[in-house]
Amino acid sequence: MVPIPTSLSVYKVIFDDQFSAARAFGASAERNGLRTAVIRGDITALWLNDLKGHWQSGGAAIAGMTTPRALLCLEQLAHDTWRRVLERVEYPAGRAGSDPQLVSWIIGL
Amino acid sequence: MRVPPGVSVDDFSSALTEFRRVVGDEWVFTSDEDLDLYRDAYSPFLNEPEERMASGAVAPVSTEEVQQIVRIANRYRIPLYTISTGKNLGYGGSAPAYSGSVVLDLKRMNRILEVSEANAYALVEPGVSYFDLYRYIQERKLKVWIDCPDPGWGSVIGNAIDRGGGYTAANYRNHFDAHCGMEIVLPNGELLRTGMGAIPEAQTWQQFKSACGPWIDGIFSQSNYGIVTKMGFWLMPQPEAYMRCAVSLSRYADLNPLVETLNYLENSRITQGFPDISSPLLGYGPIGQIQLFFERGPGKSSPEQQKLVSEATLGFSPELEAYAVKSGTAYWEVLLSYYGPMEVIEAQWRATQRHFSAIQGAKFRIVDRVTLPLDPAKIESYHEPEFGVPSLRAFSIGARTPWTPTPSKGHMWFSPIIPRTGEAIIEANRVFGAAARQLDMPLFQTFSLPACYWERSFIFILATPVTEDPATNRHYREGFKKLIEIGGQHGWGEYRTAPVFQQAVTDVYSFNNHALRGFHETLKDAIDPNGILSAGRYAIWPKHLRGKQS
Repeated sequence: MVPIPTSLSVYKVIFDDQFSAARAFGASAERNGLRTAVIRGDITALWLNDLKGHWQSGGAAIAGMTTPRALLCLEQLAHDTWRRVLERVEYPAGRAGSDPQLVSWIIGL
Repeated sequence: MRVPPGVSVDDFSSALTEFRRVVGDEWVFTSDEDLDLYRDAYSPFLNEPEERMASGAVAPVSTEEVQQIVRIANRYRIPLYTISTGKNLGYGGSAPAYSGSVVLDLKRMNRILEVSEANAYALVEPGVSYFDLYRYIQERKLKVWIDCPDPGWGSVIGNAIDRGGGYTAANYRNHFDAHCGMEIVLPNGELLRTGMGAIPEAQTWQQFKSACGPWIDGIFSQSNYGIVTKMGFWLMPQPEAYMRCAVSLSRYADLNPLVETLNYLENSRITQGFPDISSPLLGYGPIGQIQLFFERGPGKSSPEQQKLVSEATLGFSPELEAYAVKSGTAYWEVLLSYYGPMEVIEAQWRATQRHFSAIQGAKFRIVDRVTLPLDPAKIESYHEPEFGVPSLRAFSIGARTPWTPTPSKGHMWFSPIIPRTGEAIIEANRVFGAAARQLDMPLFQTFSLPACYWERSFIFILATPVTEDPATNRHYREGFKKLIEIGGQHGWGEYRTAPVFQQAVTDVYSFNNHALRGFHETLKDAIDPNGILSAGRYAIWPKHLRGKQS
């Protein structure tokens, strides 16, 4: 799991609550006092209603655990403000019926 | 420091210094980590030496800054590659066609200059995304719709000049056709306005397209003759109601009359929405519900049906047709959408049924009938772009699911235009299917159906995977080019393609010894003699690079 440096200012931790590993990632972040945001596959609403304005106003980094496709969307949208993926750790898919391939990541300047 | 090919380090450094003077230090990018943001995430040359890369990037905020940058680039012969927001993944992204170009990134030019509700049009800059325009309209409660592609994160201007398409009514789905008026910075830095915008203090720039004299707007799409800095678009008045209906047909031979009837109804504007042809029998779902396929998997079919489909030739066998009749499974189904006052669209649906009733056994059903605007909480039940709502749900395509256990790294769209006939669908499947099997390409595996983005023609939109394995990507690239060539031999051509394939695609447009390419090159030499703008875009190369690219 990608470690979130304590020195890094993190705006929110994003996790896909369809998947147990991502839920655990989100729970861990909450225990550490970080704000979280939940997605279920699609990141449209989160980006439109939250991250877009945050990034345009020069906001802090975000971290998360999602599917690679959700990260691809966030990564491409992050490019709009010249942000990039600073860290990424990939996890192979679990056994049939469990989590698909997931990735934990940090996006920032 | 990366340096554009053919430019000295000193000249490049001087140009960068002058760029910084125009836009400010923070908007000129030269570090590897910044320039990596301009790589094509779906590059067919992923991680290979031939992957197209930028040498720099510069992001102006105004038309005046664009003009100054172009003049500097002329002085130092710096190749620029213009992007709006660079989100056309599958068609090239933000990577330059000519590796080593400096990306002229227009995403900071993001002003919505006007939205007229009274006459349903908008005037925007290239950095305005469909999400931006949608939100602007929603916040002001304006009763107009945008037409957006899927996904809807790209630039309104960028998608239009790349000639993209959408999902609402026919006269808005073709995004370039729906534009009205352009502002362009020419390669010498001069500013040009087309249409009625050529009149100082124009009153009708976004209201009358062709003005007087030659109408030149088309040459600024899929080209490199200028930098579009403003563009007008006609918007769709918010309809009162929406209805989606299905027509189901039971025999293989019904495909021909289905298309003929559809053409009449669409060309007569009896149905205006995105027609979506599918085959429940063959397991080929509607384009508009493709994200649902990836989210939920294919519809259920019996082992008998699956076996018969796998044994069919070009989607047909007498046994499969008998199964369709016995089981009541539609061979073909077309979803038709209607926008307008309820009493009008109900009448249009009645007329539709009357015309399709000429086909024996045609069955009809209403899938949705809703008054508009939709409750925002319910929009996710629908394919959002059919309601002018941008979304990113299309990215479920290719995600790892139980139905796609080995997702690709990306894809390149194979998108040939074919005639609007049932015979052409079958012939294209025969030709491309045989070629794909011979070339071991993952396209046209069983039977593919085209989409109806534009009137009067069909288009296949088929994804060829991009993987992390260079050998596999090389195999797919070569197969892709061969399919383009085979299509050309049958009179079919791509409507749009990634830079890697633009030479191969435009090679097909060869009538009269490539007269069209010759004309493009004549224009290029006249308008951009130093060849600084988007070299190689759609295989239009400046004289000094012509014939030197593989």
